[in-house]
Amino acid sequence: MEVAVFSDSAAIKKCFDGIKKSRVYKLLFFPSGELKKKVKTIEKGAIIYVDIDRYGIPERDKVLKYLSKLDGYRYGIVDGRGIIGDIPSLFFNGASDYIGKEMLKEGMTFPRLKKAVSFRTLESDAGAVEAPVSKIQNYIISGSDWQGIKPGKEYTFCFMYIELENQTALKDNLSDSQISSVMNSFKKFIERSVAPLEGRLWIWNDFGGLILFPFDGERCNAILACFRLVLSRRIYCVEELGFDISFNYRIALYIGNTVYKMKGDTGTIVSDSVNSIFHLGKKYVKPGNFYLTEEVFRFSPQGLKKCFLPTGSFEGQKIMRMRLPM
Amino acid sequence: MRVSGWAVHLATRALAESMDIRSMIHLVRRLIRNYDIYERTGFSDKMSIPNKDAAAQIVRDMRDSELLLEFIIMLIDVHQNGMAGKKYRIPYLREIVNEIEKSGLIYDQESRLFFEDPRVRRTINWGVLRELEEYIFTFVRLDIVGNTNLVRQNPEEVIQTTYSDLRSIVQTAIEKRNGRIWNWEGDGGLAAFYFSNRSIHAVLSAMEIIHELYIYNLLGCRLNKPLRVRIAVHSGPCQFRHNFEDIKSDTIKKIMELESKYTRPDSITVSKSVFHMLNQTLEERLQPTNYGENTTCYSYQLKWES
Repeated sequence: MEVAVFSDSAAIKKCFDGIKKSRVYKLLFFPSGELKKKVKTIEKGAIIYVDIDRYGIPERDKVLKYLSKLDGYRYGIVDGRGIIGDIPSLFFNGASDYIGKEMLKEGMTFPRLKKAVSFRTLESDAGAVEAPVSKIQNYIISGSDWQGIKPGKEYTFCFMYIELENQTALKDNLSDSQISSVMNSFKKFIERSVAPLEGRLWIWNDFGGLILFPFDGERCNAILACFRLVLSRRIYCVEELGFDISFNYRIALYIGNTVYKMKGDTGTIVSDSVNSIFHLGKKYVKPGNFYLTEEVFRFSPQGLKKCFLPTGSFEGQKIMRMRLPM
Repeated sequence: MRVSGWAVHLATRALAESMDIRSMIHLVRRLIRNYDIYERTGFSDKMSIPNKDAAAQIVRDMRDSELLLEFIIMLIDVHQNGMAGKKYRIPYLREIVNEIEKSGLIYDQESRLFFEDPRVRRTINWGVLRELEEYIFTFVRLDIVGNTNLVRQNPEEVIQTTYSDLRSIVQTAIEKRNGRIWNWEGDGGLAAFYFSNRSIHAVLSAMEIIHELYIYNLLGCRLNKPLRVRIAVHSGPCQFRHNFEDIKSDTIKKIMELESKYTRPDSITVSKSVFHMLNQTLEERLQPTNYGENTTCYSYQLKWES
């Protein structure tokens, strides 16, 4: 989601430093006087912050009126000098946030911005990520990276199951050393594909395994990674696996809980979620397909949702599968 | 490309310790036809030149003529395949190649060429191609569909951002496979591939562009309609010029024609010459299309199950 700030003030720009590195919000700065000109370039559903200080009284009222009638956007007012007398009226007229003197000094934070965004629902929010109906009663957030994750503690992760197909054909047509070379290349290729999105190979068997992605309750990066793996499968087979054979793989995504243990120390893991993802991947996913649970699907980027079709249910959850490229 | 003094020293020792003067002359005349070791060293042709002196002179001359890399490539070839039916063991080759790699070049075993390490620098001639020399390239030509209308119908800032995003997608796909963008006009351009498996890399790059653009249109495109491109891939000879405007090439003319006349939006057209250099996995993905008696091409388009 875009966060557009209309201001020439360095102090106001600095106020938004706390969300500069957010992967969920894209921060844009525009000159104060270009609100009407630039708003058309901002995506619908964005939140717009306007520095009200730069406007004189008659102009200020016009800007507030313009913002209250602006369709498809949320807005917040930045009032560094405290010139707005009746702050509640801003909210009566559709504002989602007000940044006064004190807040300006403290700086915008991710939780604060989240509250501002969820303060008001827009029509364009329909079809966007809904609050997930979770199989797990409460997520034990593991975060957006591995920094806070400690072995021995239970967390919610996004699990990715991947397995190479045609194992019998591979064994019939390739020597043991060739198979070993293919599997080594495959494993390294998967590691490289998931690492930029904080995915880590966790359990690996002969022809595939389980990758863990930390889960922050906001998004599931693994979905786009897996989408690419399926879309560009033939490119990867030619470039990464080194043999002129058409390889295929199946993928499943599942959100669940497990006690985290370091790779190599997973032999004693007892987790319903780990059992479920292995069962989903090995027994339920059809060859060459990418399936995800409805819970994971809710975190899919909006534009990607039409690429998935319902395909039955598994353990009480609806399952979606990716439409396959021909 | 400057080769280090230590590499020059090792090359001299390698030459001196592996062959006699006659063999050295035979080798160097592959690069300089009338090379006269006596004239170069100043020794009378009635005297025998010490191996070390001859080797030192030859390597110095190769360096000064900017042919040292080619000479080292020949030494590697002689070590692997012999020369005139005779086997030679050339010492220090691994050290010579390591030394050259320190200066930012990589040795490609398959094409038996040195080229610049893309992690160090990326120049349009890979650091090794020479001006006015003719080489065989595989080209990728890309053009945005309906550019004029897009520019009219969308704010300038959106156009700039979108076209910049397209450039990033193209650059990533091309350069990760050691291709080089030779020309970019904002609404399209031309990329070149030269080294081993150039046609496979070119086709894979084109496919990746189509796939990434599909994802971009789903998730990030701000235009009033999806961004669409046409891509063509063709191989043939072309004289290398640093300034793209100076290149006159039938191969480039042909690829421009393939892209503009025979390529549908959101698809890739691959010429016959490229198709026959692909492997089976890629061939299976391309559909043959006849455009008249002499024009058979192969096309690729992203299709989805219904």
